[in-house]
Amino acid sequence: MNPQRFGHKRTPAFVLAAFPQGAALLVLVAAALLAVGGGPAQALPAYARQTGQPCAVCHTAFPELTPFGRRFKIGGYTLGGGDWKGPPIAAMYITGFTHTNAPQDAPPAPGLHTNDNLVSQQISGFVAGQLYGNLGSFIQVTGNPVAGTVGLDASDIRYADTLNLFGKTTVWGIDANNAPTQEDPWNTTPAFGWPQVSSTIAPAFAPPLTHIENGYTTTVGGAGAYLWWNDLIYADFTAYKGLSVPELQALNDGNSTTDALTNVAPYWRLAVEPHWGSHYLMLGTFGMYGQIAPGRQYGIGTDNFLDVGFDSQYQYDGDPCSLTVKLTDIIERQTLNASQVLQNASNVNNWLNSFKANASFVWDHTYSLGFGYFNVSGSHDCFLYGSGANPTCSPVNFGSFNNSFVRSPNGDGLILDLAYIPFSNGAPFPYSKWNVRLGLQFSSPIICISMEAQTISTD
Amino acid sequence: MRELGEELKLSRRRVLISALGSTSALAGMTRWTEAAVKVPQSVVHYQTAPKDNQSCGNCNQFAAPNACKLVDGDITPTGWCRLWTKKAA
Repeated sequence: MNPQRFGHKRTPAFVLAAFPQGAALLVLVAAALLAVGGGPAQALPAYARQTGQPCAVCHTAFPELTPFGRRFKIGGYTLGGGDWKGPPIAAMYITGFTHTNAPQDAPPAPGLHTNDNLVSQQISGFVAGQLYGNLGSFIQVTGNPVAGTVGLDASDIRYADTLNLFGKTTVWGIDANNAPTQEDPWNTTPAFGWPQVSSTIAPAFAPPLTHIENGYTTTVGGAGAYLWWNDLIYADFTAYKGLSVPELQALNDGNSTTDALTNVAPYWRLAVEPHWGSHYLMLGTFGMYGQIAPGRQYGIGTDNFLDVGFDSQYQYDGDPCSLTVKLTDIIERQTLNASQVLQNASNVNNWLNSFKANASFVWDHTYSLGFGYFNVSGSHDCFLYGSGANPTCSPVNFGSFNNSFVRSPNGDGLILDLAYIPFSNGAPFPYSKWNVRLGLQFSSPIICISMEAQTISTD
Repeated sequence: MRELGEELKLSRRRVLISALGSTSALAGMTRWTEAAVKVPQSVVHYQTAPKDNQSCGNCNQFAAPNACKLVDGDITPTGWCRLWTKKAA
């Protein structure tokens, strides 16, 4: 399983459903962005050096994007303006302190405690920015010191240009990436969804996320094209294919038992974003259809996942404050032919719904207050979601989740995220190579109930 | 068949070598040329009048006589937008 990474995260509050008692998670996270090379550095330092702009131009609060930041991404990461002439590289280090209301049953990793752990949770290197002309990249290699792994993280390379379509300026681009929605410029889709930085050592629980949220990341490769018409309408179509075992091993993103995407999986995206002055409203939809061979076991059919998402965002891009409100709902239809044969699912047909709503208020791109709610619901499935209480439904593949007695994916919770980003508007010293985000995150499930109405955890 | 740990160890070494190689290659091919895709004027609150002592004419992004490195369209030296940065001496 891939470690927690900036760019594709897991909603931390899901893990709390694994607690037998009321549980809450407090995470103090510090992310430091180091620009490798000289020169003033802000934002993702490679982009800041390239544009000559502070990170506040592209981010309300790093890494959530402003309207300018979305257009920088759509434009292929190639917009210039800075004086930097060196390579587009940068590095990031994230350390976190994690406290839970109840200690975990066992240390989350060798050398750690059952509670109150301070760890280096992520080290990343980036090749990010203009590569040549209209060709740009966001390539991230991530190491997880806790897990002792390093591999290619969610990344994309794109080429963008402009044309005139129906009398209006249109940006078009082609994009290659390894994580569906990585190419999307809004933070309502999973790859860069809120909150973007969370603990990696919180207690594990089989996350009942839809496949487009976490089922494909870094195990697939995709190529597609997009249009951004009249600074208003965005359309994207990308086709994904599963990576082979040698490819997964070379990138350190999987092995011979990693789930395989067996079809050429279509991903689609349509959004409209009108704006009036500093007020931006986005309405959109996205989706993907994938056929999965679980554990690369073939000849028993496939598990098929149709994900359809609807998202909306209101953003006030003011000065000095900004407000971003986001809604995302993803509906997933599952046809679990292979998993039923493998007795990993009781039903052939299941559904899962993932809803998220969150708002972030940011003052001067420096102080961020974010508040979010999530709700996951779906059909009950004894084998898929496990049940330690029912001997006829033994959790054959949930051995590490002994605290889990749930037989449905249902759960909801709240997340509070506070952040201080001192150098958003530029570092106080002229040749600083650092940008820093200090964050405090609190997560708590409201209620999580099993099929037998057993309360798993409450506030 | 190799053990998982063996695969990871080999892959990690391979990834590090690949990452170093690809980073060097990408860095080597980097050429800083002007991008074709600039941002619309409305997104950066461009106005044709200056703001206080700030104007496009004394901005580091201004490309005389009437363009900007970041913003699309005709730009007047007396204009202003949110991206204003002091022109290097």
